[in-house]
Amino acid sequence: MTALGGTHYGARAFKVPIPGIGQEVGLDERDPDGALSEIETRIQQARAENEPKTEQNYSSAGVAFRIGVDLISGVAFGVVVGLALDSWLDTTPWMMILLILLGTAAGIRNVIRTAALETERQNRQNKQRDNR
Amino acid sequence: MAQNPLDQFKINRIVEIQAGGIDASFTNSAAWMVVALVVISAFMIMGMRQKSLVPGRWQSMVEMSYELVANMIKDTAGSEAQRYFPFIFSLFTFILACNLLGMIPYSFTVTSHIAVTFAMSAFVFIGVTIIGFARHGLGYTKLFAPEGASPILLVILIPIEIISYFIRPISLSVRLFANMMAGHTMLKVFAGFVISLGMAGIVPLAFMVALTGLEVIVAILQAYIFSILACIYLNDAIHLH
Repeated sequence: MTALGGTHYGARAFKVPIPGIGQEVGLDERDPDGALSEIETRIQQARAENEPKTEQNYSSAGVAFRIGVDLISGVAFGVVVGLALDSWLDTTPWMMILLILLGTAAGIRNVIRTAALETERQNRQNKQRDNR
Repeated sequence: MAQNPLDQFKINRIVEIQAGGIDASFTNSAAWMVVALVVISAFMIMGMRQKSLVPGRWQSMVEMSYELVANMIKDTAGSEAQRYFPFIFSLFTFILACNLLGMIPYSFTVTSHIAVTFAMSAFVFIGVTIIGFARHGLGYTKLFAPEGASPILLVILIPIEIISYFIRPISLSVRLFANMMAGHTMLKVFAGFVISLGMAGIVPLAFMVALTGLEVIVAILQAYIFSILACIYLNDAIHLH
């Protein structure tokens, strides 16, 4: 083989004979009907379809698990701290009522914050995927 | 054989230790924590023993767990939070190991006790608060006052924001403990049905097989959620959102 001469390096430098034509061509020229480039786009499509979906499903499940407890723990915090304050200050049941309301609001606040963070993260992820 | 589904959560003293009036006995819970530490150390040290450029199966598992946590920190708390990587990584691997070891029959699930999970979440809470005050000084209290709110609304909003800050460690610990305890209790209850139903017990048995798979997912997911929430709180402390 005389292919490895001159300034040709890399894929172009390795010439392979194609049977039937009797002539040497470089590796990247050996693709008459574009079959190689077609399969490449198909591989990329398949990858794009599979990867982000599975990832998103699992993190969505994570968010779903998070939100339920966030909501309940606000109310529970209100009841426990309210009862404790009531027995300390002798104001039954007013502190408990006040703190249940505040605790519920705080629980909902945490849920909204989680949802907003998740939306932001997904937007960022979508943007990254579009750039790719 | 334990008949009560809640018997699996009982703490037994293995070695009695009394230190100055405090019961510091070595219990089955402590024993399983030690097992978790041994398993994690073995996984990490043995996996990285070869340090080859092209990793083998074991080494790539270690590298994957490293990359998972590193990406999680970078995505949720930014690159400034990378210095807290050792803490988040220990948290993640410890909870994951405890949860998964709890899936072995006759083992003890350390994370099914709120004393354990609350200790971890209180540590995260106190640590994050200290980091916040160290980085921003008194400006960290701006976290409790949403920007652009009118002064009248602030009277209501500030207590709500303060309470929502304080319920974080509670929901963090309750989530992990409740998920582990509920799952394991459910498995035990269904296991009881298998024997009492006789031949028809094959139905709850099939259900238990599916449930065991679900429990493994929950074990991994809960470890992930605990550490990602620690990252989110860290993000608040570093960037003041």
